[in-house]
Amino acid sequence: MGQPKEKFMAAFNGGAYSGLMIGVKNIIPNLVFAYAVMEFLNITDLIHYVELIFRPVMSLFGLPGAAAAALLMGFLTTSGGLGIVATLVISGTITADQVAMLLVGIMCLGASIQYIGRVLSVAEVRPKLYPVMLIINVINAFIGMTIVRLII
Amino acid sequence: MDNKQDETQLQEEKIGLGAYIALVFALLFFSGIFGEISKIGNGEWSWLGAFDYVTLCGKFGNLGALTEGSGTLAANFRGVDGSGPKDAFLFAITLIPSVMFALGVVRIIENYGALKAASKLLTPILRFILGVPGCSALSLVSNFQSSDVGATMIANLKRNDMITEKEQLILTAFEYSSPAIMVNYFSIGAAVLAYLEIPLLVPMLIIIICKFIGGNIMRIIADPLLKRVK
Repeated sequence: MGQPKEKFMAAFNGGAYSGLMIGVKNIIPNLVFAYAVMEFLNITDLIHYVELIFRPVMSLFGLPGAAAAALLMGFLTTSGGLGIVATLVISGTITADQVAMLLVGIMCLGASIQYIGRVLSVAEVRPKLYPVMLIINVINAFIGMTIVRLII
Repeated sequence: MDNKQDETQLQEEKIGLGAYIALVFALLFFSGIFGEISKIGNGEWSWLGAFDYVTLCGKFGNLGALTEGSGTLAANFRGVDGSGPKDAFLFAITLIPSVMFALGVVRIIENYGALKAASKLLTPILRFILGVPGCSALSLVSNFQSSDVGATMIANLKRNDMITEKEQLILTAFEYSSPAIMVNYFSIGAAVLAYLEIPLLVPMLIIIICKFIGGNIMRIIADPLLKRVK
């Protein structure tokens, strides 16, 4: 009679603990990094150049140029990219629908650089094909963002 | 060795009704549907909110109250108009409770075999939707929880000649896009989930569809690609 209950609490606590560790090891450091970068871009006004350069591509999805900063950051760190999305929605630069779009886009290509080691290399895929895999992630992101745009 | 085989068979047979119930519960709990229903009418359905993840997460306390016209109070300890790493730190802290709660619930439903149930449902259609054999199902489903486990399984399948190199590429393309989505969506995704105005699981569903699209893109280009590379 004791065992199922133990399993239940042990399972919940184990999961909750892993959530806390993800918060400490991943979310906090990556958000700190991303917000430091955004602070730099905002203080130097370089954010306007990011907006200018990426406006053509972003407008294909009905997104402002600044959204490119989130996607580019997302390539390195998913939490960082999504953290930038959070600042963009608070400042009114993007709408809630665009949040959904960027959530899909950033998660599809998120941390592609980091996952080269953890997925591509571990799965023992030929290194020559790594760029193709990366490109497929970017295509996934674009298709995903288009789907969101169409259904919302 | 015979005992171990019997044991695994027994364990597989035990993936019964409980696992499917856990799977259905998980989908309803995280979908947001109970949260929406609880808001309609005059509150007759408000109790349903107790079965909705976002509702059950609760909220941080207010910082107090102001008399009208005195200004604005921040919603919680994060304050307003923060920026840079200092703001990032407090923002991240506001995310952690929801993350812990979500992953605790996810671990419970995993324990009851919900993901094994999902894997069993997937197996017969894998050949059709992704062009890979049924033995890859567990790797695919593991990828929903862990990038490393799913990828290790791909390597093992290939080394044991249970999949071809083309199938290895298709599986990897599927798993490489948004790995560990069930964990990351509720943890890393927490940063933006609060701003969504659509059901919580809709973006997740789209991401999963994109994973299948990516796998199928590889399915199409794998043969000419391998010819060029070999």
